[in-house]
Amino acid sequence: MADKDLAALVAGNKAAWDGFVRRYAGLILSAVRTLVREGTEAEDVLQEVFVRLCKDDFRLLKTYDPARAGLSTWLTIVARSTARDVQRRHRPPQSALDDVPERLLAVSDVHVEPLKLPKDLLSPRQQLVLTMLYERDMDVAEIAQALNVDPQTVRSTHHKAMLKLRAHFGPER
Amino acid sequence: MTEPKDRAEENALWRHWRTAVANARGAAPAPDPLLLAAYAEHRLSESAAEDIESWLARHPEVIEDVLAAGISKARVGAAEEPSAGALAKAMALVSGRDPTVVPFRRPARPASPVWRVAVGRVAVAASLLVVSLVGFALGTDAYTSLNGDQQQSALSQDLFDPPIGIFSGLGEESSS
Repeated sequence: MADKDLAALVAGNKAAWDGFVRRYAGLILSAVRTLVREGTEAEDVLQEVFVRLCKDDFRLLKTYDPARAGLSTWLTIVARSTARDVQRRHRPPQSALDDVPERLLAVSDVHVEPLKLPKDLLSPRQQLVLTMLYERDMDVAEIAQALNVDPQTVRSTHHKAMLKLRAHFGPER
Repeated sequence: MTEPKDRAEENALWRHWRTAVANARGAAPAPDPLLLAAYAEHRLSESAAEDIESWLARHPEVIEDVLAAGISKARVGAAEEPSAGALAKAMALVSGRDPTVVPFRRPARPASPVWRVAVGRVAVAASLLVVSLVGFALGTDAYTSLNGDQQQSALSQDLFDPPIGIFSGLGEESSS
């Protein structure tokens, strides 16, 4: 989207807004599709995304800076974040306190000493690689692509992180 | 990368670390969407990227958002089509009014000539004079007519109903 189109959009130009909706509604719908259940719910989220974008005189849309990221990339982040918020709102209610067995509510008076962790044992990159590997079940090629690095770099990062963890939590401790 | 047995052990080590970190750290605020988008496009500096990676490691559910954002450019044209109703609803969020504010201007008044102003002032003064003269004349007439009636009624009252002072003097004398 050209800068002048964006300027017209945040100025409240109706034609610019209609063009923006037509161009990016499909992208937003695709971005939220994996997070919501059915078609109508996806379209509700789509509506919520557009409401957020134009709310308070286009406050959110005005924070977008084309010099820092592409519009489709930014819109995908905003759309998925909105979908998560909608999901959180629609989450089924928690069980009432009276329904919980009393033994589960018992509070033991045991003081647990917090585990002392060396500061920055793992670098942010090492933590992210391990998270992607063990929590998101991504393979090395996917991680390398996501982080824009060589697959060998991912293996090396993983190896070094594991050495540190073994040294810290190993049986000799 | 590693054998399955090692992988299970590594996974356990990671879980141990993650639990410990989760207990030690408080909740960090989510980064700005623009920062996450810039990270997805590999546009951030190393230090800025480290902050995002540190946050992502604690919020693994958002990793998929970043991955989806990274490939979103390719999806702009090939994305699924929303229904016409959804599009119309979204378009209706911005009304067709013209947002430019038109300044209000008073219509220019033609300058009046001096003689016209003078005639206007004289007319006002003359009308005030006429009104005050008419008011004075009416007031004088009303006073004269009211005063004449009062004098006539006082005479007739004296004739038919003399003042009590004459008889009151007689009464005092007789009683004494």
